[in-house]
Amino acid sequence: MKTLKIIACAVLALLAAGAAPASAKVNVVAANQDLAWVATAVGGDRVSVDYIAKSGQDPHHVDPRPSQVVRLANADMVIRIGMDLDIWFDSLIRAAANGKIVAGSRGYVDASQGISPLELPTGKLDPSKGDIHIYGNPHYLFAPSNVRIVAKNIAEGLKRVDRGGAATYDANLNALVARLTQSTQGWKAKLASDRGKNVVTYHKSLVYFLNEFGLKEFGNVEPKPGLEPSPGHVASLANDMKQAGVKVIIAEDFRQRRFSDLLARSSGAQLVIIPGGIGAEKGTDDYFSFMNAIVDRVAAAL
Amino acid sequence: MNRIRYVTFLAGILAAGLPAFAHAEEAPGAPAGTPGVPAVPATTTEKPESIKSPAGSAEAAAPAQDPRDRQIEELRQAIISLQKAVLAGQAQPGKDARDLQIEELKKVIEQLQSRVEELEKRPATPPPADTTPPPAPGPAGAGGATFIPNISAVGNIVFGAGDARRVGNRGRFNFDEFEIAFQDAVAPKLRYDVFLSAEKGEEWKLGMEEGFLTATALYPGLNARVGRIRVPFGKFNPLHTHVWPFITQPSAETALLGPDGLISDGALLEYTLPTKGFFVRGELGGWQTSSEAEDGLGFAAGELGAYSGRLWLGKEMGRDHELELGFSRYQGRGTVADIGRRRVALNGVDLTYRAYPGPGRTFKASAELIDHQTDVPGGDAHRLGGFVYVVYRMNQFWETGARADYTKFAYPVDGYDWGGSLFLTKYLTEQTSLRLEYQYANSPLLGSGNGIYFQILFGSGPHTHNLQ
Repeated sequence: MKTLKIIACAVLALLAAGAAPASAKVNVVAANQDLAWVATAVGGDRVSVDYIAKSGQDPHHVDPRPSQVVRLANADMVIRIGMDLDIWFDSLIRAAANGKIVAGSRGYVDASQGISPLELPTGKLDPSKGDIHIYGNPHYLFAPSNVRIVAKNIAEGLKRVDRGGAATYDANLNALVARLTQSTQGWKAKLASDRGKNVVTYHKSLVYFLNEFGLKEFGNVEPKPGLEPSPGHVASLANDMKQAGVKVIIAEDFRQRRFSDLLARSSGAQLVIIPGGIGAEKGTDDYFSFMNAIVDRVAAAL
Repeated sequence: MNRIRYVTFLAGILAAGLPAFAHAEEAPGAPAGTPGVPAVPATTTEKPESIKSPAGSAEAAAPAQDPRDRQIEELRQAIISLQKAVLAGQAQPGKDARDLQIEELKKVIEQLQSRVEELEKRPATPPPADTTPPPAPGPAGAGGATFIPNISAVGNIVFGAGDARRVGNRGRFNFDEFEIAFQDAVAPKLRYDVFLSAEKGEEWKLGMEEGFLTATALYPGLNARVGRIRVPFGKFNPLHTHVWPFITQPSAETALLGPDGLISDGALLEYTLPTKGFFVRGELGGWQTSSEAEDGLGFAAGELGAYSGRLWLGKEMGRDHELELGFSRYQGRGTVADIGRRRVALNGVDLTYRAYPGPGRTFKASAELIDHQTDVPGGDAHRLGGFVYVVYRMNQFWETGARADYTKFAYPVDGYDWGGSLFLTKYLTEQTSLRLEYQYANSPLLGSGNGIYFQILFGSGPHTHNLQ
């Protein structure tokens, strides 16, 4: 009996020591590192931001685990990618049992709200078409114009959970958007002479980027979204690329290199590896340096 | 007074339309350096220090701007300046007139923001005709909305070859299971998950593997589930067959919990403590056991009443490593051969380590120890079993692993089973995979020898499970 009491006291002491302290900052948990950066830019000093999936990790495949539940259990606000890309986020939200962040509550932000979706599928969908997202292509953060929408969604969410900070959030939002607008001009200028050119991407993850900067998607290393490339598909695509004069293949750094390299060798095109998200590479710690890296590399290759 | 004039001036700009704004620096009433009132930005602006761009980057090469973008930029700078004025005003002592001015400034900010949004909706420059496909209409209804719940299907076909007693349905492709899931929210914080399963044993049978309602966040950290549930005993029992990393069931699960696992009807409370940095969850359930023991295999008690408890701990060790520890108990009363109704219980300990060594790669090692405890005259009879497995996912498409098993059988059956297996999985899509497993097992009761299994798993539709 005495032993039981000692164990009970130890457990209680442990729990008390680990209990979340009251914090003046708004605790925000984003589904990935990109959204976390936007939340930090908008929230400034008034928020404490954490994230689930780090850059360099395929956002389609995230393994929900208990430590992530802890993050959400202590959150005042969550930001999800939406458009069915982060279905895994649902099980975490349910497990956290935190009424502040369940869908429909003040602290629930779907960052994709208001995004004009590209590649919105129609008709019957099934896995024979690959891993298709029913609400359209969810890789919208590669377009700076969409980051402005995301930032606004986040600012609205922050104002709901922290009304006292509304002026700060608005100011930060406008500062961010102003810089994005200005920077986009620079990025567009870099790629202005390449408008209309064809590129091949590994996955259909750059359609918003290509659309924003006037480039065209010629094909993908994957035969269909989410499916493993095959030598036959690569050979056929390489042949088509040579005939059309396609000179660039773009792949995020977390993708398998084998087939991209094979396609580059077969087609004579240049393989451009880009960071898969903010912070995926050294020196890409914010959206501007992240997008700079992509634009500079693509422009140099084109 | 200057503030009022400034607000009036901005309101006039809004009323007159944007072109007037380009000459704002010529307008009266906005002298630079007026305390608390920002100068209206002209065509050149200074970026806030905190977000200045790195020199030499692509963004620094901004060309002559499109007129629309320049107007938007000017408006934004005006908004930033006004917001700074609001913040500065709020920081000053005193009220009344200043508050009025702040309110007016806020209104002007809102009007300016609306104007920016309106401008942003206009095309900046005519886009190339062949780059932007128009968005297609939604999948259903004008807004693409539907009332259809999430419906998914998962099929499991297994081919087995090897020892006759060990490998059931050997020598043919056996459609082991077909699962159909319906999942949806029925009210805020209330959802249902129903998993119907058609299984092929001696004959096909249709049943409900799980079907429960979940009430989320009844109290901070507290969820409740009612219905038919795979009992949260250990890490493995709650898993559906199609999410196992191998084909065959660990023998300790078969012998001590049951060939279909431990499934019960009842209610479950799940409480996650508000700890920071580590995960602590307690789970308490009241049940009637619904899974059946077959041929001395499984848990034969609790059909009239049982309860379960589980303590689940988790600790992240850096972003790429995680350790979990669990303690479980399930207890009920059942008829024990020759001695009548007695208390029968299961006690379990599980330990899981996960690592994420690189893009697309995961490593998982998991071990479970199960004690089947029967109250018999003169004390408790304990029968121990357990298994350990490791799984390494090399990339998005390939996974391999190994498992070791050992178990005794539930009282009063005597005997043991031990063995091991190797497995390799090729993922074709997110829900479809091919798997190969080699198993060697040694058991007087279940049969000894080699077995080779080949599995085809396929599925479609949105299919999710609770945290596992």
